[in-house]
Amino acid sequence: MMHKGGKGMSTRRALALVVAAVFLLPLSAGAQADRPLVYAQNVAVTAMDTAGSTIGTVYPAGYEAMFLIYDNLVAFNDKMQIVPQLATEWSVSRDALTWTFRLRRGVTFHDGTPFDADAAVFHIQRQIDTATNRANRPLWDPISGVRKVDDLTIAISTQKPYGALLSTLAHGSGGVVSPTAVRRLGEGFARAPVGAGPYIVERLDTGTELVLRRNDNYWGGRPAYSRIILRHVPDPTTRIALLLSGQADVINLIPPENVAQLQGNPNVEVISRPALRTFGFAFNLNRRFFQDVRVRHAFNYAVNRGPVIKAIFKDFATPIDSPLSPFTAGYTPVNKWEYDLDRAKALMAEAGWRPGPDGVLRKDGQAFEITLLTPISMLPKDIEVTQAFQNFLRVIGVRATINRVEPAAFFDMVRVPPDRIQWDMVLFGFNPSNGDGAYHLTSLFESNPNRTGPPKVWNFTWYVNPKVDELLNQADVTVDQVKRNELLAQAARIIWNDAPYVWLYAENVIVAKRKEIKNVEVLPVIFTILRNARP
Amino acid sequence: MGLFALRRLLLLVPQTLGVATLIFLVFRWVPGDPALIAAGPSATQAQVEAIRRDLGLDQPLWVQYAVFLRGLSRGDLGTSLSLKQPVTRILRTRLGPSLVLMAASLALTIVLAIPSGVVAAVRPHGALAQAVMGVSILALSIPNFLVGMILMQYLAVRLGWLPAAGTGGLLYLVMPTLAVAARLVALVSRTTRASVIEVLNEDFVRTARAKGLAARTVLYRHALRPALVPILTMIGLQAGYLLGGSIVVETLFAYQGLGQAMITAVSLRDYFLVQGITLIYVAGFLLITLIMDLSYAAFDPRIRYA
Amino acid sequence: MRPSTPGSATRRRAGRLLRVPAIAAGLGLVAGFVLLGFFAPWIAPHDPTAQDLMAVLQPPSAAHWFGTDDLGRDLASRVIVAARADLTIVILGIGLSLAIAVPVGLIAGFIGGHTDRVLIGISDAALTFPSLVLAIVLVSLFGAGLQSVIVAVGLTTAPALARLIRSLVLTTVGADYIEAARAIGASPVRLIRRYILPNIGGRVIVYTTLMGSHAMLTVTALGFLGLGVQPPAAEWGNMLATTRTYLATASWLLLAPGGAIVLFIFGLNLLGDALRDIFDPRLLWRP
Repeated sequence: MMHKGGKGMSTRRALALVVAAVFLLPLSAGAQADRPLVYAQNVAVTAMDTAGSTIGTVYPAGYEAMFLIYDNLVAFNDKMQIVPQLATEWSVSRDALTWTFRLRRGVTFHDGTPFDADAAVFHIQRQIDTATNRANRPLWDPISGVRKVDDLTIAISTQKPYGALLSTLAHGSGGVVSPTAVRRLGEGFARAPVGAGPYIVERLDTGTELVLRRNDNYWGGRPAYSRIILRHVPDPTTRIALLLSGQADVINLIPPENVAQLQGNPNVEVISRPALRTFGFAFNLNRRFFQDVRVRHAFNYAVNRGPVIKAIFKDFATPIDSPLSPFTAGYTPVNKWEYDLDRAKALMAEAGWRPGPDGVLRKDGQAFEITLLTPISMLPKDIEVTQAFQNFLRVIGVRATINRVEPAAFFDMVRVPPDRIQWDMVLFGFNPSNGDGAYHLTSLFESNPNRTGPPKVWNFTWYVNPKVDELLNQADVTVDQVKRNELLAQAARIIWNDAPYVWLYAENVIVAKRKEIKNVEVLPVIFTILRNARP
Repeated sequence: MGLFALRRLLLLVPQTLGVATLIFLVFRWVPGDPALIAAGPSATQAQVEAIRRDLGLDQPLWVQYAVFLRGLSRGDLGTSLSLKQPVTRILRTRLGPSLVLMAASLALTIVLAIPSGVVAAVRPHGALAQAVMGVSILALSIPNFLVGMILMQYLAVRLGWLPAAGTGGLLYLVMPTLAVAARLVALVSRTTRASVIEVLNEDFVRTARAKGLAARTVLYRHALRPALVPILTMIGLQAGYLLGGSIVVETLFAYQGLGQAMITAVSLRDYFLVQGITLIYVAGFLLITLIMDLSYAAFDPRIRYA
Repeated sequence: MRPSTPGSATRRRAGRLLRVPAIAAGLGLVAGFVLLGFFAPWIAPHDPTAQDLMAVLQPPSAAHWFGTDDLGRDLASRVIVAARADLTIVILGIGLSLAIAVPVGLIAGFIGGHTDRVLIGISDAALTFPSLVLAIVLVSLFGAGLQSVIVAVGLTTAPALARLIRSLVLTTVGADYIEAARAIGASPVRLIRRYILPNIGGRVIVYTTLMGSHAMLTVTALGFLGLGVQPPAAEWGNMLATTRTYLATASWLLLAPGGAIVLFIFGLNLLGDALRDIFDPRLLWRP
């Protein structure tokens, strides 16, 4: 009797265990799959329309969100090479003025609208049209038109041969939008965007977080996470605390001094990539004393970049030898500005500047006193770098005062007509977000159309060199990459020697993640791509 | 008591109104052009003017004031330029954590400071009395953000017991509360000690002892109530510190309360948000003062007729 | 019996009590810092602006007693020079506060009536702001920097000081000897100078000292928040802001500026407490 009871009980217990296992196992696996990916960003996502009207606050958070929500016609992989996405193949006409794209079959937007040539045409047209898209004009202006060839083919035409078309299509503003949603939502589209990408917008709590959910119908396969949450955490110490405690899976923008702390932790992995953003102090070339190229060269020789990178960036930056970063398309090394104090002083003397009794350089009774403009905590280590630069200038006898300004006002002070410039030098870093060197050089160094208004793009130094303009225009219309790069190299060489900047470094973009998360891509254009991430 | 309370409550309305007007005027004299800041760097002149019209900044001052008052009555304090949300929505989100921080600091103060002050008074040469007096002098000399950083260094960085910064559950509250409360505990424990000592020397206490009542009964039933008045006064006087100190500590710990929002708003020149937060702080201050006055009156009838 | 003028009894007490250790210590610390600030450029062991990018964030050593900061500058020297900045702000700020509060308090207390109500109304309006909130608002409007902080300190401490002076004047004015002096035709100015000021002077000094410690807390807090003196100029508050950035890797950055602030305020508190015991034991200071 007892024997039977014992066996019965053990069977029952075994049965109970099996039942429990059957219930619990999927729960745990389900819990695993249901656990969202939390990405803590330093800036908040505020608007996600590819046809944008604001820069500034959207960067880079907005773009990172957009790369999850939208698919582009073509995309960058993490080596900045162009790969197909919503376009499967493409070709260029012989006169290089028309590009034909074959579109992917069977793709639908999040709202069910089918993706076809009509949608693609709508998207491109919207980007080209200045009435609907005021941002990133240098990328879209060269395109003159787009038309449907058949249901799955479109043709994009350009006024002149446009070598960077693919980069433009792969840019953050190249995300393809659902025409139905745009027509329906109008202004509200920016906060409730509809694309064809792996993740769909579930909820935007502006300033706090963006919640995305999985697009089960994604053509590229079922995305790994049921949800991705992009959370706004402006303080780096907090981001690190969240990562260490497991409350965040990926965090961006880690200050170099905190990297050591993270590298020591076994649960966490640090990804550091040299970025495309190059930094330097720009000269206000409208000031007379900067118009002598010897002075500009002297300033470049006066800076010891190595210790700056080591001390301030803890080696998470690279000295640059070209206005372009080594990973930008079209980069070729030009030269290095070695630290040469004697040469710097000699050049200043040649230019007619002699040290006065207080050590400050003087010429014709005027002391060499300048102001350095820097934003506060907008660019990496901006204040420290500016102080270091001020010190280097002091050594050669230039007295520099630092004028610091809040991020909100910085661009206002920089992009003004020549007569309204209130600074002598300004710290600036430019990131060609389409990875293209021509875009970078043109934005900064193509001469401005007139001197009555603000700079056309980012040439706030008011640098003018007709030869550079000619080379850049030529490069714009050259489709052959080799020839194009050669033209860009020539332009870079001239610009480097004209020295409208004191060039410094390209900083590394430093991102960290929990060790177990895979396929987190960090692009040199500073964006962290989570499309393919999996637990 | 009821009449007094009613009078004070009614007084609150014109007080708040006056203060709101003051804040309105102060924020009219902002340097720079709010329309330009709101429009952003790449806006055309036409866009800036459009925004100026939208924000009502092209109207004469009295019209803007009327709009401001109307908005105030409806709970509309404008839109934050930096976060692109209604100011009231931001205030609502951020108010909670700040209130929790302040309440926790106050609670900690009462729980720690009053008992230790009482013990220090009853046993003036004991170890606790020495500790209270010694530590409190030190605590009053250390700014709260320095206390916070020392705590951060040991409890978060070195030992890893607590997260270094951020908002969230209880763990994120510990260090900010300690940082804010340190000064309060010092002041209140000293005041408690002084006040209890004074009451214990009063005639009526000596009478009670002479009557044969036990020391403890004397203490709790007779001495504490009058002793509470200066203690309450001291706590009330620290209301300003509680509000201001929480701003600095929140910023140090990236604790997402009103104070941290205010500092960020100041750095981004988001004047509507700064204005809104200032209004909340001042209104809160007035409210605390009111509560203090009412509880004062509850303890001391003479005040009601002042 | 020795004829006594108002204030002389206080002065005699003061003379005797100068030997109390608390006062000596407090005065010593405060005077020490003032001297440190005054002679800062000569005392500092290194040039406080000299950067050494090869030696950033060094822990304390023989060459640098408190280590170096994120740009390789000597922390000891910076702290000494920062003393000058912070003390200047506090002294000028409290000076501004007195310059406003003393006349306002005297006039309000002496003249009374409408003037008194108006002046008190204004100061009460300012008092509805918690002082740090008001300071932040003022600095945000005027822009960060030395002058703004001085004005902020002055304007946030003046209202309470004015009220105190007014109430002291009111209590003194009722005294018999004032009535007597008035009866014999003494002018208001003479009354103020000979009778009122010496009488309230002691308590005003106590209050000013305690306000000084409060002002230093405000100044360093504003500096820490980035609203005060801007780098590269050294100030204890902004040095602590740098400390926060590097806390995980270079915690010794706390020592120099933190220690300086604590010692100075401690000294000021000792002094203020002791002075209060002399002049007015019942005074509850109002922040």
